[in-house]
Amino acid sequence: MTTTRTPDSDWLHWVLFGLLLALCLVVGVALFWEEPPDSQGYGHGELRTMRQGGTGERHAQVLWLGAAFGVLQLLLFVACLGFGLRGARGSSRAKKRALLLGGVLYLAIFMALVLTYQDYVKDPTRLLVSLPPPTAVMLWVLWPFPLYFVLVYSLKFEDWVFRKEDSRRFRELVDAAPAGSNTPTGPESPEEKG
Amino acid sequence: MDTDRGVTILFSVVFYMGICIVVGLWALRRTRSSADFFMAGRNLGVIVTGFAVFSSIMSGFGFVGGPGLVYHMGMSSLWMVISAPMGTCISFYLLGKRIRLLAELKESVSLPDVVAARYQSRLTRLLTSLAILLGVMGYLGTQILAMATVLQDIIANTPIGRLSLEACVTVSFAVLVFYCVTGGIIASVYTDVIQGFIMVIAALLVLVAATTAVPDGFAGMSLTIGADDPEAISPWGSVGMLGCLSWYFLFTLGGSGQPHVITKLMMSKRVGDVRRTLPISVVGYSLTALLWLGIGLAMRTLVLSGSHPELPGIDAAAPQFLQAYTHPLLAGLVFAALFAAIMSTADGFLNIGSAAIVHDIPQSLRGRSLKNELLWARTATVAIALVASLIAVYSGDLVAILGAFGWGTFAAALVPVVTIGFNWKRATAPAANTAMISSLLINLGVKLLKVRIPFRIDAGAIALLVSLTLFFGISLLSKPRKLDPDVDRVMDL
Repeated sequence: MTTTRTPDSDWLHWVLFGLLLALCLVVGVALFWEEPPDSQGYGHGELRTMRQGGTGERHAQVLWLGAAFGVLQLLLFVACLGFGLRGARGSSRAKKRALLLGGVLYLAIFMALVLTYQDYVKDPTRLLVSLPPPTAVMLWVLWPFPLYFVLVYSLKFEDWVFRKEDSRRFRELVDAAPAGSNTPTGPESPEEKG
Repeated sequence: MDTDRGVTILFSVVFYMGICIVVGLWALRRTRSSADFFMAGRNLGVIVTGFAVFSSIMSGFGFVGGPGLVYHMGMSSLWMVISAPMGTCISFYLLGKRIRLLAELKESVSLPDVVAARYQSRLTRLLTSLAILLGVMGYLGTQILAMATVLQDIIANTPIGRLSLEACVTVSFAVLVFYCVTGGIIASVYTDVIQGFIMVIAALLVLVAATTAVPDGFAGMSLTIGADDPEAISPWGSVGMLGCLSWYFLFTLGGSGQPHVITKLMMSKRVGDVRRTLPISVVGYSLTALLWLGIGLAMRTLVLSGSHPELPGIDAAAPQFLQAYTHPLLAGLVFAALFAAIMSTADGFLNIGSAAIVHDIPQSLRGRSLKNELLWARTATVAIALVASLIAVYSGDLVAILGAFGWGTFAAALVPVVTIGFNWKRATAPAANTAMISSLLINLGVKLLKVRIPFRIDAGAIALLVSLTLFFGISLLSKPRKLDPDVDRVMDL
C-alpha cells in the first residue's frame, strides 16, 4: 500500500512533543527528589584516583524513575526514526511494523537490563558471558541492537527513504532552479519582520 | 619507559604526521574553490564518507579520557559509547538524505547555509554560526592541548628530553594547520580514512592485549572489580542510574547535532550513498570504542589487584597501559592512533570554524560572502588554530569549561533546529532562535555558576531537553510561514 499524505499532516510531531513533555516531567521529579546519600558515588577508601558506587541500595527509591527515564527516551529515539521515514514514500504499514518491532525489542532489552540489575543487587557474584548479567545485557545486546535499524535503513532505502522517482523529481527541481538563485542568503524571514 | 621504546613510539608518531603532510600537499592540487575547501566539491565516495563520519566522532577524549573514566568510575562512561549506534541511526534517518538534497539544491558550503535556506532567516543563520564558533573554540582548544601533552610525554622518553608545552603546542599546531590550510576539507577527509584505519586496527589489538594482561580476561576483571565494589562493574558504575541515562540521552540524540559530523553528510557524491555509509560509520566507531572499554577495565583491575601502582591521574590509564603491557610497535601504533583521533576531530572543527567566520557570519550580517573566499578561508583556519592554541596554553580552567561545553552546546543548539527542523515544515524561525539561545544560556550558566545537579544528571541533557521542548512548543503555538518553494518540495521528498 502506498500512502500519499503530506508529511506534516500526520500526528508524529505530537507524539514527539508528548514524549518530550513526559521526559521533562521525569527529569523535573528527579531534580526535586530527595537524593539518597552516595547516589553519585564516593571516593575509594584506599585509592585516591578511583570512585565507588557501593551497593545497589542507593537506587532502591529511584529505580522506577530511572526505568521511566530510560523507557521514555528509547520511545523518543524510535519515534525520531519514524519522523525521518514519514511522508509520501513506500508502504506506510510496513514501515510502522518494522519500527514497531524494533522499538518493542529495544524496550524489552532495556527492561531486561533493569530487571537483571535488580537480581544483581541481591546476588552480585553471578556472571553471564564473563560479566555481571545486567552489564552483559548492556554491552553485548543493548549496544549492538541498533544494527537492526541500520539494516532496515540500508535494505529498504530505495523503498522507504529515497525512491528512484524521488531522485527523478529532485533532478527536475535542480534543473529548474534558475542560475544564481541558489545562493542561500535569503531575505529576512517574514516572522522577524513582524 | 625505556629509551628504545620511546624512540619507536616517537618514530611512529612522526611517520604518521608525515603522512598527514603528504595528504595535505596532494589535496592542495584538488582544492580550487571555496566549495572544494569546505565541501570537497560534494564528491566523496562511500568509504571516505563513512570513515570521515566515525573518525570525526572518536576524538582524543575517546582514546585517553574514555579509558581514564572507566578506570575512575567503573562502567558509567560506557553509556557515552553505547549511544553511538542509535545516535548515528538518528543522524542518518533524519538528515542523511535531507541535508544532502538541500546542500545540492542551494549550493551550500556550510551547515548555516542550509539552515538559512530552510528558515529564511539571517538571525537563525547568525545564531547557528555563533553556536558553532563557540563550540569549535572550546573543542579545538582541548584537542590541541591533548595533542601537545601526549607529544610532550612521548618526547620526554627519548634522547631529546622534555620539551616545554609551548614547543609541543607549536609542533601540533604546525602539522594540523599545514594540511588543513593546504588541502581544506579534502585533506581532512582523506586523512580521516587513514586515521580511521589506524584507530580500528589499534583498538582491536589493544583489546586483545587488555584481556591477556589480566588473568581470566573479562571474567577476571569482573570478579576483581566486583569484589571491591559491585556497583563499579554494574551498568551504572559509580555515577548511578539517572546520571548514566542522562548521558545516553545526550549522546544518542546529540550526535545528530554535531556540525563536524553532519557536514560530512553534505559531501557525498550521490544521495543514495548514505545507505552504505551508515553501516561503515556504526561498525567503525563501535570497533574503535573497544579500546575505551578494554584499557579502562584492565587498568582498574590491575591497580585493585596490586599488580600495578595507583595512577598519578585518571588520564594516565591509557598511556601507562601502553607503556607497561604492550609491545613497543603496538604502543607506537596506538599513539599514532591517538594522534589520529585528535587530529581527525580537530581538522573538522577547523574547517567548520573557518566557514563560520569567512562565509556564514558575513552572509548573516551583510547578505553576501567575502571576496576571494578561498584565501580568507585559509587565513581564518590559521587564525582559529592560533587562538585555540593560545586558549589551550594560557587560559587555565577556561579550556576545560569550553571543552565540556562543546558537545552539549552543539546538541542542544542544533538538534532542534537542524535534525527536527529539516524534517518538519511547521518549525519556525522564532522557535529555532529560542531553542539556540536557551541552549547557550543553560550550558554556559551551569558551567560558569558551577551548579550541582542532583543524581549527576548532565547539564547538556537538560539543555537539550529544554531546547527541544521549547522548539516544538513555540513552533506549534506560532503560525507556520510559507517556505521557499524549492525547500518545500525537497522536504516532501
